[in-house]
Amino acid sequence: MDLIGIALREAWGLVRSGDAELWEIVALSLRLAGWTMGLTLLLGLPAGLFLGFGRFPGRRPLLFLAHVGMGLPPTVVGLWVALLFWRSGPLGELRWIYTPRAMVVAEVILTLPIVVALVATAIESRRAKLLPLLLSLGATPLQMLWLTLREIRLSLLTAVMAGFGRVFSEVGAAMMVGGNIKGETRTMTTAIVLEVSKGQFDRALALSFVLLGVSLAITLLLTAVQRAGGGEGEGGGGMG
Amino acid sequence: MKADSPVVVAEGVGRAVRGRSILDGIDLVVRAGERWGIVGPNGAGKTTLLHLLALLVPPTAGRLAVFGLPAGGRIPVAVRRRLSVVFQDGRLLSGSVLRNVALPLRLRGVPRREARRRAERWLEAFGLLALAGRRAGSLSGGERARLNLARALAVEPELLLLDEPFAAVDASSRKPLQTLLRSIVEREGTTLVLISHDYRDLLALTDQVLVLAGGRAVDRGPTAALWARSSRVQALFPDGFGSIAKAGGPGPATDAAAGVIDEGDEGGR
Ligand SMILES: Nc1ncnc2c1ncn2[C@@H]1O[C@H](COP(=O)(O)OP(=O)(O)O)[C@@H](O)[C@H]1O
Ligand SMILES: [Mg+2]
Repeated sequence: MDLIGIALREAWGLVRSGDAELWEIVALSLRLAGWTMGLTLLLGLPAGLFLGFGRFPGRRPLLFLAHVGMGLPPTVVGLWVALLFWRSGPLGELRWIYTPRAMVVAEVILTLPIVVALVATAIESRRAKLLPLLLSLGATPLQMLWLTLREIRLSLLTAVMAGFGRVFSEVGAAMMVGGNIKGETRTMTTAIVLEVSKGQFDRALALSFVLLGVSLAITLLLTAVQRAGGGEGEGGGGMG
Repeated sequence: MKADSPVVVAEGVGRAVRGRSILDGIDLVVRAGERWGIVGPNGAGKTTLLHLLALLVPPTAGRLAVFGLPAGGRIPVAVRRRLSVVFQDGRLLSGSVLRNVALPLRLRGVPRREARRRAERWLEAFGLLALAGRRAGSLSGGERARLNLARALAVEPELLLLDEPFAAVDASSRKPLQTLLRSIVEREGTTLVLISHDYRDLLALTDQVLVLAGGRAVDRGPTAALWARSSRVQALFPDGFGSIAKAGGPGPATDAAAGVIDEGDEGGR
């Protein structure tokens, strides 16, 4: 099949020529993922810490909910968020439908459970041994928080990578909430869907290779961050 | 701390978990500079008592004061920083060997360079300086035991609480380690509470011994004299000083092989 060969050449051509539309799409996807993960960590880290450390009734159901949320179908979330921001919907006044803002909202809903569940379970599995140790080492509550985050940093990184992966791979929510508007809300995945629907398989394949490349680059970057983070102590290696 | 002033005062201290009594009616006064050993069969409540003294769990009965502070309420971090613990399972933090020793100093506000310098000194004392840059998780059982001791001592605690610290140390390294620990504790006037399954550790390091069985204090006395007179103590070590009878409840003799609290640890015991 020659299609792949053509697509590869096309992809390379697109990348090399600095195709403006392509880079617009890639840039929007990256910005979307960046904002999403920023907000998700901002909300999910405290929530995960609370669920992991807390001892209160309803903790188990909440954790269960987070685990269920990890598998929420993007199309369903997209539908809810679209209805929420629909012109006549409850938040229609904001005029966020078909804007990157509404997309970020949908993607945060999709990635938040991942961060909350992974952080909470990472803490849960360590707290019985870790907390007495940190107390006995003379840590203040704030120091305990920081040291705990350090001990679970591998889980944190996994959560961030999984979050990026989810934003980059899902198409249902981005399509429904963003509307796939050229130059405004078109992401790599929605662009691929569009090219395929137009019968432009070579362009779709080219985009798919770029998407794979970007995903790979981000994973490599985060892995490198993890490696470097391992040495941030007093000169020692990574995690055990 | 003035010699003779009480570091630990326990009056009828008990601890129950989910209605089940683990410790009951423990009376114990440990004065500054005293060195106490605790023996007893598995499941006697030794570790639980040590955790009580370390202010890690509150008593559910009786009265306990450590450094004059009643246990049970909120414990100021300044009080915690006067004591050190070596846990039975030898808990280490991720990162390097050096980090593990320097960290408690850093937590106390010791500047980075100074903490590093002091940590290296303690690592050297325990023969670990060559391993300073190694991942703590990669150490052998014996090295881990020495790292735990080095970390506990580096903060120069007034009260040192050791839960079977030599369990993973092989017979030939035990004696030098005892000698080293003894010299440090004597030099610093450290108050010591040591749990051991080997009466030789207690003979080498402690002056008084408390015998626990079934959560109760069943005997106590000067370390050497107690061995000579207490049939209870002798019964614990039917093969001589070094092995403890499996008289007590179920459970492994020691958890010392358990490792660094790291990502792979499913912990939560
Ligand atoms: N957190 C806990 N919850 C329930 N039971 C416990 C807990 N900690 C200890 N125990 C029980 O209390 C008894 C004494 O335990 P421990 O203090 O570890 O004994 P030792 O150190 O003398 O072997 C054991 O039967 C143990 O199973
Ligand atoms: Mg024990």
